[in-house]
Amino acid sequence: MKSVNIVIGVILAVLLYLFPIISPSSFLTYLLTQIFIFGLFAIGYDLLLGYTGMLSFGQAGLFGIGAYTCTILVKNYSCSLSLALLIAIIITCGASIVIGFISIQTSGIYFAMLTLVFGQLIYEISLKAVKLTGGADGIVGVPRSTFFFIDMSSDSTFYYLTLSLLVGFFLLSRILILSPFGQVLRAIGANEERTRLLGYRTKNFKLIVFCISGILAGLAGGLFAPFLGCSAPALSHWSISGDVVMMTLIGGKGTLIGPILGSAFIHILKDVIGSYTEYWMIIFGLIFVIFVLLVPEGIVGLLKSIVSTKELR
Amino acid sequence: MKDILSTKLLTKKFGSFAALRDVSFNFGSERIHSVIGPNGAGKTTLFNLITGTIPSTSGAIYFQGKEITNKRDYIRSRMGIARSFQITNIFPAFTVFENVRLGVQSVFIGGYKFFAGIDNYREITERTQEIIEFTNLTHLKDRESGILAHGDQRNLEIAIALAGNAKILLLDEPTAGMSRKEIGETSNLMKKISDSVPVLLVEHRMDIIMSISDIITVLHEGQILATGTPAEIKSNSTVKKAYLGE
Repeated sequence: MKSVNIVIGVILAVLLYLFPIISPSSFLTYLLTQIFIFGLFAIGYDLLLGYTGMLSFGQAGLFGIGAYTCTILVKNYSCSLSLALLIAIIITCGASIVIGFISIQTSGIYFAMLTLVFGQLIYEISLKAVKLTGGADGIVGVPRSTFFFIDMSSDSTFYYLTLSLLVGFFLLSRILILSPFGQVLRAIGANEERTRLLGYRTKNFKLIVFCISGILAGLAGGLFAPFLGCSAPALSHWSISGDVVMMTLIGGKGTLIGPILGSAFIHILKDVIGSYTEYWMIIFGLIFVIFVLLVPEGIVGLLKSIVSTKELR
Repeated sequence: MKDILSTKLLTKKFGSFAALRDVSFNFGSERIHSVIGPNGAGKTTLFNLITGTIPSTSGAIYFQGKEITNKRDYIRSRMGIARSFQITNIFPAFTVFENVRLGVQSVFIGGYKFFAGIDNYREITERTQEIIEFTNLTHLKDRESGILAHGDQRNLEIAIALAGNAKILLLDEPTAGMSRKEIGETSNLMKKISDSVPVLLVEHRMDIIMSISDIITVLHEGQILATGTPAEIKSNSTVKKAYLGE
């Protein structure tokens, strides 16, 4: 079973790498890039919610910090995208330490509320710090610049960059989950008190995973702004955090691959339904409710149960 | 003779209610020391204070000659104070093996190893196997622990507690809800454990207490009523009046 998964994964990756060559559709390349960027974001979120059981509603704030840092560096200081992303990661990591340190003093719904407050605080700052962020107008005309001297302006090179980062961070996250550190994360998610009584200082682990998750949010934000060509306060809005929560839950939390599928599902749905009606959120809401009630394990859980019933026959 | 564990005038108040009052308790060289008393006597509170799950109101706790009154729970665990819980407290989504391995990992390498897979640590795998064999759980090793029978989960509790390199093992009603056959197996297991690790036991069943304890402490309304060997406790008139109801 495990080797089957690896084979499917490799085939899928190869197909995705060949995609811009096979398909002439620039629309699909664009859509997939968006899926990859949010996939990165959602993988980080899965480490937090899916494994460690920490429900944060403030991830959009970190996404926004990444987006603005990258935007300002590339646009105003003519930084390369690679350097801008690196600095964006460092700054989001710093912000994660501060937000995380304060928020993990609580847990459960209080943790969720504190992170929401921090997220909205960042949203408000991006709205009010006009000189730095351009206020409600945001910053437009963000160039994609270069990534290690490779010009990123074409959609297909940007596609390869985001796909490679997604594959890389997916593999790294898998390694992390299978490591001793990952065992403790899973344990905290299952039963934090018991984990502490086995001698683990759980707060440290929670802070580290919050930072890892924040770094991935910042990286995704740092990619998303030059991809769109603009940064706006909306990137830090709590509804973006909500999107990531939904991607993780619909795809299947605690699976790493699930959140990527969730990202694909939501983006495709948005596009398909959105082309028929502007009220796509209503339909989307219904689908989310159906998922939570009937398929709590998400898309991955659904696929697993289909495979196992077939095997039984 | 230095006591492995002792408390001095330990008091815990919840509001104005004193769950424990001036309890001075000593765990010396005995193998199994039991704490008995009616519901609400303060047995679980005593456990929670010793493991650091809740802070004491006043008094002191000593472990291996060192004061631990203000030490955090995870530090006490690392020092070797291990416990099982009255209400089963395991990692339900983990397999039996993973449950025990988590305790072993805590002692061997801790949690700050990010890259090599946990399966690559041979000494952890071996020690985990040993404990699972010792606690008679080998046949359930790869089962998800949340769906095990109650009695097996209770034994897994003990296995997890043992895995953490226990210097003393606190067992809170390990046989709660078990069948007669399971109770026999578990009390044999406790005797086996006490060969290498001293056991502090809270238990309701008098037959077990009287047969396996070396020393018994009787708690009543948050205070120590008597301490002695099973024979002494049986013949103690205050205990009889207050607890055994004779």
